Amino acid sequence: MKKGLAIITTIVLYFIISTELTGCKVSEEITNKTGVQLWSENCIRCHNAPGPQRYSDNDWYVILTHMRTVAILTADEETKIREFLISGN
Amino acid sequence: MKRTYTLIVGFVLLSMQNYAQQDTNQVYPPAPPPADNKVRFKLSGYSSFDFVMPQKSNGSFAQSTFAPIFTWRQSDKLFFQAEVEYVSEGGNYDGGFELEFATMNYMANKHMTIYAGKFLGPLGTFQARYHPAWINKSITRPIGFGSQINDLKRLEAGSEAGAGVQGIFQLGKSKLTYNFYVANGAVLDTTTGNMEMESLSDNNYNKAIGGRIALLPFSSSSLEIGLSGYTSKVGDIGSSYENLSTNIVAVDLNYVKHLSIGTIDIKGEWQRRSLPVGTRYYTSPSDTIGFTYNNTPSVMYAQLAYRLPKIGELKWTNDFELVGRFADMKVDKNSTYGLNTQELSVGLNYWLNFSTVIKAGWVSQTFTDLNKQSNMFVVQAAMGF
Repeated sequence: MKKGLAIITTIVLYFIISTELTGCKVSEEITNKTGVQLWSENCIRCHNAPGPQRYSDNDWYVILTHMRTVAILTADEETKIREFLISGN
Repeated sequence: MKRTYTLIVGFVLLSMQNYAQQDTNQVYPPAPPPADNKVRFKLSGYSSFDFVMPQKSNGSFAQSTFAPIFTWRQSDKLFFQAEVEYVSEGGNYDGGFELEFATMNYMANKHMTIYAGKFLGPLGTFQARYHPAWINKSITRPIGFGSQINDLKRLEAGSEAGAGVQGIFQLGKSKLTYNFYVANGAVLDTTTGNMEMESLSDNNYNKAIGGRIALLPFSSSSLEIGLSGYTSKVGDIGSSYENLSTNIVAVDLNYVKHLSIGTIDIKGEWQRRSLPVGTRYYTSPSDTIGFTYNNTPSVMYAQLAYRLPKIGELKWTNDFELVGRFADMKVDKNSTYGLNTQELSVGLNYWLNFSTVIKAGWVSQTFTDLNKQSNMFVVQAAMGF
């Protein structure tokens, strides 16, 4: 059991450190993506993309928090999509 | 217990009523002062109902589903989410509530989230992402992925109790996502060879480990290829099955692309579960005669959806979508899961808005061992909210 916990702790630490460093490797094409691009690309992977006016600005805050875990988005992607949806409201 | 259910339903209905009034009185309410970051709660979810008419038989209004999702944003890094699913099926209205997931999530950094609680296991993608009726483009769930055929609802757990970590590596223009977890694990029923996958108490010293890695090779994220695995000891402590392990592997694919001729959506998944029992026997308490089988069922589905584009001035053509799906379930000889089954379904979807759809289609199931076929016409209305 202790061995298992040690392995899990190591894996978690590895991912924390490596994901902190991974930002250096992102291509310019990715970092320059706009909110509308990310919205149209990521929503339709599972379902139709809702329009900005579908929900209120405050709703979008909570919805994007939920979607960040379901669609596995980065914090930057979440922020850009939310800003696009709020700006279009 | 009934009082608790009544309170929950009452709370949910009141919340929905409030939301519906807002939606009716104003097309969309004026945006409140944004970005104050103080709004914490959102009620979302989905509902659906089916009408099923088997060939040469009368039709029935069959399964109804109501699945509210509660999301509470405690802070910028910490939030809670839960889904309670109520399904009425099987000839009565009392299908019962099921806690699909209830997780505490902590966003450790920009690329990683840690979670704990009861969660939808990331083995493949159907149960974790596509099972809500308004997201699933076909009229039914595939066999072995939640659609109850014979005695096998799904190979993997669906939801499990444990903890995990998920996140993203950005590799140039590509993405690599991961999701790993530990959970109580499966429990073997030694009388049938079946497994209880959603156990809330661990029957041995071993925790199940599972996870999924997915590659999104294109910068547009249009293609996603996933590989999942799961391993768990299944026997009780002290029993002859104590060191017996089950393994599940899954491969999934998702490709969605907007083209000038319409939107193409291809999804597919294959899962295989193995439980090498060796010379061990299962013993039914009703007849005490031992029997055994390899216990390596596998399931797969492949689905193609095509949504029409707007044609000239005709915007309504974009509301229609054609869907076809093939699914296959393979079971071992003597398996208590029943029969090898193949399923073909074709359907037409009409989208009332982005999350409300009426689906109509034909489902044909072939039980290859019996050389027997079962056909049915199904209509489903589904709404995400």
